[in-house]
Amino acid sequence: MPGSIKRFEKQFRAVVIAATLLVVASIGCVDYVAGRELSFSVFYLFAVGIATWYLGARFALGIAILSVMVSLAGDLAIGGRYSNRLVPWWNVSITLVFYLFVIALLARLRAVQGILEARVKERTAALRDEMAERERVERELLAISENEQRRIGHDLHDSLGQHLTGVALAGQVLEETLSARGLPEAVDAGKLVDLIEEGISLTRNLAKGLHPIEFETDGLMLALEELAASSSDLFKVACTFECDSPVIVRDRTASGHLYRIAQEAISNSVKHGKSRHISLQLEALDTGIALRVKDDGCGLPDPLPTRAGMGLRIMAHRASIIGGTFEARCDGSGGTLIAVLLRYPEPTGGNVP
Amino acid sequence: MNKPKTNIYLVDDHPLVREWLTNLIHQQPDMAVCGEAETAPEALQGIGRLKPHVAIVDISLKDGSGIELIKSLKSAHPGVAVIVLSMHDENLYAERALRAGARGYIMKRETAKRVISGIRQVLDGNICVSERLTASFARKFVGGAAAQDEPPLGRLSDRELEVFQMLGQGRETRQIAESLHISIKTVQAFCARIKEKLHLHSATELLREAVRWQENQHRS
Repeated sequence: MPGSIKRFEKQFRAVVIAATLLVVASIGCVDYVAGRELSFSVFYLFAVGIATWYLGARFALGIAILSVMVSLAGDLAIGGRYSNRLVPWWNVSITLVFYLFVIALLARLRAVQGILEARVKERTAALRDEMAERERVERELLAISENEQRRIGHDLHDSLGQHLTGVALAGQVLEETLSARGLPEAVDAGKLVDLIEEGISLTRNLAKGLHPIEFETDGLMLALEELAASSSDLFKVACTFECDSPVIVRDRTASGHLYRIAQEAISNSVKHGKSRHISLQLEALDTGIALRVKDDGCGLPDPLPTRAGMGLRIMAHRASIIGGTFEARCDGSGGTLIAVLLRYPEPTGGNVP
Repeated sequence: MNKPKTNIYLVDDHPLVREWLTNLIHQQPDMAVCGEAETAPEALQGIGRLKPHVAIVDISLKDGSGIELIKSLKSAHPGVAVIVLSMHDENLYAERALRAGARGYIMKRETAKRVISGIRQVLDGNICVSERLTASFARKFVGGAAAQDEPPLGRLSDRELEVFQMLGQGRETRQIAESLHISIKTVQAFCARIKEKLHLHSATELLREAVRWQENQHRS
């Protein structure tokens, strides 16, 4: 590539040199025909200007000297008379100084423009780097928070859950001991065991929220099914999960983000959309896997308030991280539709078992 | 009290659970804990040596799946009745544990109240699962899906069976469509018909049934 650019630059230079010389020659001819009285020095300036801008000050100096020489030669060839033999030389010198002045100005302008261009290029590159870096950091932050949640979920489920199981067993032992001795406190001990078991359920549900997807092939489907059920309970709405044929998402990151998008969409739809029915749909299309959250609420407000906008932005961001497209719009029937399309990565070898 | 006590072996990687489960069992006049283990290999060795009547197994052990342990126990020591204790939801694991050879499944959040009665149930030759799960098994039985060990695949057309098999191999809808040279929509239509014929209610159930069937094929 640099080779072809260099060749192009060389060709361009040759063309500009030829054009400049041609301009000087043509103006020289006209100057000669027009006679001694008319000054053409301003027209030579055109060639000098082109040379300065495209070929540099040194070449432009050459063109300037050439121009005054051509002009002088023409005047001398016409054979005019001057009051003093030095007059034509004086005029030539004045013109030359004028040209030099213009060359200096133009060269300076050109240099400044070059610097500006380079600076803009530099800033653009830096900006692009910064954007890439920021995207990387955002991705990492989300991954960290996801991992942290998973870890806490795991700890809750395993350590605290197991510990509470031990405690419930201890309570049961106490209850049986007390009741064997015929003490009325046995009833309280029994209640205690119930309370601890409720605690285990609570721990499990908390862990489920933090670490929703089991690593099974049907993990995402199961998790969304449970999400629909628990949302119906929690928000007192009719939330259904529709998935006609099995949809398998093997990429854990992708299924994690799809789940969080669904979770956020449901919570938005209840809190901001005031909807009564929410339908969660997962479907394999020809182009990819589609997740849709449809509701019968009041639709998206226009313009979006900052907070709701934030939720949408995070959903869109999650979709972009897993290479999906995100769409949030008012449904035809008045509610809101949130849709994510996760394109298939590449053609699979369908015939390989 | 001349009757010999029922010997119980505990497999759980949480010491507090083992300790208090032991205390609870020892409170029963007719039961005793004869040994305990944290890992599957330890458990296999201990159970082989002590020959307990009942083994209580947590399926999420540190060194891997308790389901595998249940399978090994069933083949090596078929006389030992295994009861599963688990933090996991019964919907997810109970059926799998029972198929692997367990005789009961108790979730840890109800262990304290149910474990003793569960042991007695199993000793009486019964299966110990929650009422909810019993009801769900019964529904399946009435629906016909569990009438034989195998799902009634005879009702499926050749093409439907092919799709069912591929689902069981863990293939995605798109892969199935590609290898059968049909559209994804057609695969989905097949799935809908299979669900209807096998009395399955959701895509999740369909996938699980297909995987289970595939596993059985491999075994036999």
